[in-house]
Amino acid sequence: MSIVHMPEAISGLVGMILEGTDEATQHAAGALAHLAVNEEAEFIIAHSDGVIEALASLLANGGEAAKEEAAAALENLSYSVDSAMLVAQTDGVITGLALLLHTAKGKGIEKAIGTLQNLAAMANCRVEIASAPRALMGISSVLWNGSPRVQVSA
Amino acid sequence: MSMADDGTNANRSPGFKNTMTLPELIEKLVARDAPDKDRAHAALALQYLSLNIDKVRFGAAGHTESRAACLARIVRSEKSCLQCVRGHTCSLHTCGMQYDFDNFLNFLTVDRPCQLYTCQRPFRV
Repeated sequence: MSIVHMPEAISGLVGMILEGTDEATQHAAGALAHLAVNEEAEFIIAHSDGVIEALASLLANGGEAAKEEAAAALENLSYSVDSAMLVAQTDGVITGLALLLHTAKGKGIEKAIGTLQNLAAMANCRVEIASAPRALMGISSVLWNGSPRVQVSA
Repeated sequence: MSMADDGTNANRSPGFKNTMTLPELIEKLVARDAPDKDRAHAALALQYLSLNIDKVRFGAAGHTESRAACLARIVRSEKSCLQCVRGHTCSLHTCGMQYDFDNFLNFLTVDRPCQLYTCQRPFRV
């Protein structure tokens, strides 16, 4: 049985994100990010109670490394349209990602811009992204100052 | 990370075994009365264990490959265990990642044998 087929594993990781130490939240979000690379796992995780909300909370309140892992998890959870809709509809995700474009460094920016790119693939998300505070400014900043890799995503 | 004389890890509580099944690991993860450091280790173990995935998506337009995906591809394509790729620089991509997993896999039990370098060691080391 794989990790994602064990509901207590996902709920345990969510609990860790919500109440763990900064180090633990980072690892828990990292685990979700890695697991979500698999398409079936992405669906299961995205539809598990509280996962995306917890990641959004981490974007707002976590340490720098934890925020990076949260953005990475959200990037992999926004690959399929179905789960991307859930990500986009969760309060705090888009604003948190936009803020990360201004405050994060290397990997954090890469993951944040990657998630926004995934979400922008859905037409109904584009306006929301464009109207999020400081989002367009952040994307422009990445275009001007980011690595070639993130510039493509921007 | 160092190992104590009794085989437990110095950074974990004495009751935190070096070898655990996945259910045991998750039990540790959700145990609210467990020390924070043990729960953090459990989360980290899950993070690395989660790299051992069967299906990874690559090549979608504009979707760059994550480090985790890169590593998963190593494990999958070369049928290696994470222990064997530790310390090796990624050769499939240009990411330059050097694998370094410390010994977190020591307490994970996975039953598929490693096929890299024909060592045939089980994942459990």
